[in-house]
This record gives sequence, C-alpha cells and structure tokens, in this order.
Amino acid sequence: MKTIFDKATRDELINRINALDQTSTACWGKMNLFQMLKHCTLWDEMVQGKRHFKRAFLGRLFGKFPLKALTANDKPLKRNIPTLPELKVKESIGNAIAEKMKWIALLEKYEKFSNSGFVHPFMGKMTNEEVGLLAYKHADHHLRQFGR
Amino acid sequence: MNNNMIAENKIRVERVFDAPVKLLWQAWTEPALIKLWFGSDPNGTVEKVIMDVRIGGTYEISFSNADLAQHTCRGKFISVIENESLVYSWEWESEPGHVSELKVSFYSMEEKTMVILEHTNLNPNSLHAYAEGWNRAFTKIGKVLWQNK
Repeated sequence: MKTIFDKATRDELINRINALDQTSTACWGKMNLFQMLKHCTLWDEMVQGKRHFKRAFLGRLFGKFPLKALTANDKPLKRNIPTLPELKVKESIGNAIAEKMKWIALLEKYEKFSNSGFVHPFMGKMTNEEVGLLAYKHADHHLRQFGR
Repeated sequence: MNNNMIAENKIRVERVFDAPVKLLWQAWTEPALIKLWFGSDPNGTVEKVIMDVRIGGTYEISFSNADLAQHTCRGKFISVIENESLVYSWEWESEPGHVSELKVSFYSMEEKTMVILEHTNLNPNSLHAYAEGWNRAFTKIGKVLWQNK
C-alpha cells in the first residue's frame, strides 16, 4: 500500500499538486480550490504536530473502528466523508498559490516525521504506519476531487 | 518584465513576479519547491536537493535535462537574509575548482516581487548560456506561481 513515507509516493503527490491551477474546480463537494488547499495544509499540520485539536466526542465513542477500515486496504477514501469542524475552511477567498506551496513543503517534511504517537481527534492514537497510509489517502482524495 | 545584462564574467537577470516576497523566498529555499523548477530545461527533472539555508550551510542540487544529461552543483551559503537576499558559492561537479558566486535579491513591491539574480566569476565563453539558462529557470518559477501559463 502507498505510504507518504515513500519518496516516490511523495513525489507523485507533489507533481499532482503542481498540476493544479487557478481553473481547477471540484468534481464533488462544496469546497473551492483555495478551501481545499487550506484544508489540506491544516490537516497535514495537525498530523505533523504543528496544530492541536481537542478529541472529538464521537471519536471517543467509536474508537479505532473507522481508522482500521480506512487503512486496511488500498481503496481511495469515499466521497463526502465527514471532517473535523476545525478543518473546515470558512473563508472562500485566499491566496491559493501560497497554500499550494505550503502544502508541497509540508508533504516533503514527512521525510523526517517526528510526531510519533499522534492522536487523531476523531480516530484516536495512530501508529506511524497508519499515519503514512492515511496521509497518502487524504492527499490523494482531495487531488482526485479536483481532477488530479 | 525581463531585464538582462551580460558583461565580462557576470550575468544579471531580473524579473518581476506577481506574488509576494515570502513565496519567492520559499521557492528558492524549500527543497520540495526547488525540485519543481531548478534547471533550464522545461522538461528536465530534479533528482536531489539538499539545502542548509544558513550562513556557512551547504547545498547540493542534482538535475537532469530531457536528454538525460545530468548536472550537479554545490556550494556554501555566504549570506542569508530572509525575504531579502541569498548569496552562495557555486561549483559544478563537472568543473571542480572553478567557483562562481550567485546572489539572488528579492525586492518586495506590495503584492509583487522583483527578483534580481547576479551570477559572477563565470567562464566568459559561456555567459550567454548562463543568461539563457537562468531566464528559462525564472519562467519555470513563474509556472510554479501560476504565471506565464
């Protein structure tokens, strides 16, 4: 399975991000390009320990079940899966180029990932292997959402 | 806007980008972003970027042209002023002992940024190639910034 900790996988994602442009629009969902890019930078900052969010109530109830289902195979994430309120980008206008460049730089930083024991606010404590798989699937999901 | 100068052993390339200075600084210092534009061939690829952006820090960049010709340059940072300028020594792996110097200056003009590149102590016989090469690289930076498409 593809993991963000493989250089070839990161390079593939970075090339797909670089192929986005101002005309890219969503194939599903409500986000515009800026909102998607900002959502992804917030998500990766969270995983890398640069942002911290409180454990979601539903996450405590459901525990590890969703995580196991998401990381058990190579299947892409389903469309319109729920996200944390803190990762929903309300502002509709912003600097998409800046977010694109920030996202690329964040993906490269997985090479020296140092946030072992990361606790996802919804899915709970994740192993590094789970982080690698989910980080790839999350980026892949949103790039496919925008046709890349 | 392009403005170029070639003289004796030095070239100077200028361009204004429609992006804030912070993004241009990132494009020149973040390895993942350098990989997207480094080299003069529009169809080239960058294999390796190591950047230790601080005075005395070293860098090494390996890239290939579409014809698979590989190049590696390396050197040390002589001056680093965030969002203002970078000065570093430059030595091609294929030309050991010939050290040139690169200065990249960033001038913030509100939401635009002028970048001035000065490459000095070059071989006088290859000045035109350097000027053309850096101009092409600037165009590739523009593409990363969603310009010149």
